[in-house]
Amino acid sequence: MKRKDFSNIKIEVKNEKDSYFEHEDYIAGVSPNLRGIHSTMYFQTPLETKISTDTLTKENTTPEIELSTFLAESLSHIRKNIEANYTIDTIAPQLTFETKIGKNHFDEIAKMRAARMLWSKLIKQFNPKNQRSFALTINATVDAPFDAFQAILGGCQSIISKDKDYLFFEEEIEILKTIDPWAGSTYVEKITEKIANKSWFLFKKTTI
Amino acid sequence: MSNLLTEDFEPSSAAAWKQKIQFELNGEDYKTLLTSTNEGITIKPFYHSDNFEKLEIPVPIEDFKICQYIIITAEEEANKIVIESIKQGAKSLKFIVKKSFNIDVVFANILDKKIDFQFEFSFFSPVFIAELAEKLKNETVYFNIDIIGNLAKSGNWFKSLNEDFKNLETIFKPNTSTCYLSVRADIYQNSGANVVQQVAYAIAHANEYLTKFGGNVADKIQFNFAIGSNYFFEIAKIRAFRYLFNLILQEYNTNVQPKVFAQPSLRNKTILGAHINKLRATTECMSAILGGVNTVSSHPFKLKENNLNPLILLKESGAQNIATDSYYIETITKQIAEKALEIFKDIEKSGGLLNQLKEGTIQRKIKENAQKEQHQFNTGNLVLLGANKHPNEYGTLKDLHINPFLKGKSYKTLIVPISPKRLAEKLEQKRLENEA
Repeated sequence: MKRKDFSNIKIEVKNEKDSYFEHEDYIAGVSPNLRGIHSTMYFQTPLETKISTDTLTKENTTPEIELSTFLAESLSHIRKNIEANYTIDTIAPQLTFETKIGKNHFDEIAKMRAARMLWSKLIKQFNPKNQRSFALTINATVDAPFDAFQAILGGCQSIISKDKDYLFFEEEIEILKTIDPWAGSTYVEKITEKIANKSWFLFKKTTI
Repeated sequence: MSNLLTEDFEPSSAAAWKQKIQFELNGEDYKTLLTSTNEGITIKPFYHSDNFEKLEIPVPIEDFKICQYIIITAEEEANKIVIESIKQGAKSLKFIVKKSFNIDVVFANILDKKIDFQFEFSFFSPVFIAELAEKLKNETVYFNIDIIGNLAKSGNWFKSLNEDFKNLETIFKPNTSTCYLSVRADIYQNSGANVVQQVAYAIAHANEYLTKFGGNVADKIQFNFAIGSNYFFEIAKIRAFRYLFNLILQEYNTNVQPKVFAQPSLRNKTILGAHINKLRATTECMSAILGGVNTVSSHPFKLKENNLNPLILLKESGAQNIATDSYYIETITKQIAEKALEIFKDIEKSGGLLNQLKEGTIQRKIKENAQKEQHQFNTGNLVLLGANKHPNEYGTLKDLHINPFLKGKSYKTLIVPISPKRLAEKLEQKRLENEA
């Protein structure tokens, strides 16, 4: 067969997504910090890592229960401190989301993304003056090196681990070059939305 | 219902975000946040729906399979291993064949069980393949014959250009689903080609078979890729390949779902810290699956349950669609496809891949990129734990009982062979000498 001439073939670029979720454009650096604590999260504040030999006692639970509990505890802490005349801008930065990372890769990524959304929503009702109060610090505890993978992709600020193997995910596979790398993915956005909605519902139910 | 945020906040644009970054940078240049890759692609600190771009990727319809390797030395033993693997749920098996074997013994009691049979021969015997094809005529079979890949890797044809192509013709049978050919794009990766080069060479490689045999051969080819460490680029690599292969098939007025087989790269593996190699292999298999391969194998790394679980979980998630609409992956998929298409067009203009192999152009281009990577490794910009970072925390070479650096004898070749090379090889050799 004669060699074909490919000089005129072209790729066809689309500018429309197949799916679009309303929460997608609520991004880092501009409230409500859906996509990270800083607009340039990894670059300005490198991931902090700690080795801990403590037994990890945190229970595995569903993302929704974990998040709604976190919100309820945060709310009660905030209310107490406001009664004691502290401002939201002094209270909010003291609170962090301490999470145990589970095995289900994409659920864990979505959990951390949903946590940022709901945190900013919670803080909003107290009218903070400082934008920084809308941003949530997430500290992730991992009990197997592989769990660090989802922790980093979800955008945690620090990793607490029993050994150093998790360093692999920081050092070798180039996943810290861009913030929130799974953003936009229909699959990931869908679970983010699902976890956020269900967690908020559970939180409302327990606090009313 | 997704009004959780919309009722409280205003959305923000890519421009607003960039402005915010510039503010936070406090005078430092925005460019410091950009990452330039060896492919000539720039990774941005953030991607946003405002500048969204994507290609329509033909995603495989069937679920991916995890493939297990079986090296045939003694026939009865191989048969036992196969039976045991099938019992444990294997859906795809790959036989490594160094010489012809007793077909009836190896395939006793294992037919008609909906298993994919893959082969990797280190010789090319049309007679033996015809016998196998007859025995396995009702099975799903991949023979993975790649006379061009063999030339690229060894520097020689099995026999000669004419004889090799003639032998290929004798084993083709119309009207069977048997997949005879393969394109061994893993050769390019393992010797140091970058992601864009691999995609371009894979397509140019396939186009040599298409030029010879026509569009009908398109669904008789399985593509073999080796998956490297750049997690998202590897996902995008497979997707860009799927797109481009279909694009060039339009010129042949045909359209097929390419069959893609992937396994971890050897290039970034280290002798120290075998458990890190397993993490590497696991994430590489994940890249492959999320990119949309049909079959994945962790060979030569045996993954135990805790490493396999993340892959098995992907099975329940419709893995091949997960990357769809991700700002970052869609963007780099498009960029890789664009750049690979340019290289492909250049190769075709200068007479095709075989021609460029003879002239040594492909070898030279791969070497350029391999040297760039080697330099990045030597200067610590490309990290391999246990080798060039934290060298004493992941085991010592004293644990080794064999010398892993033995080289085969050199022989006369028709073209310069494309040889695999591990990044840590030299460094490990030096350490071995120092520790001895």
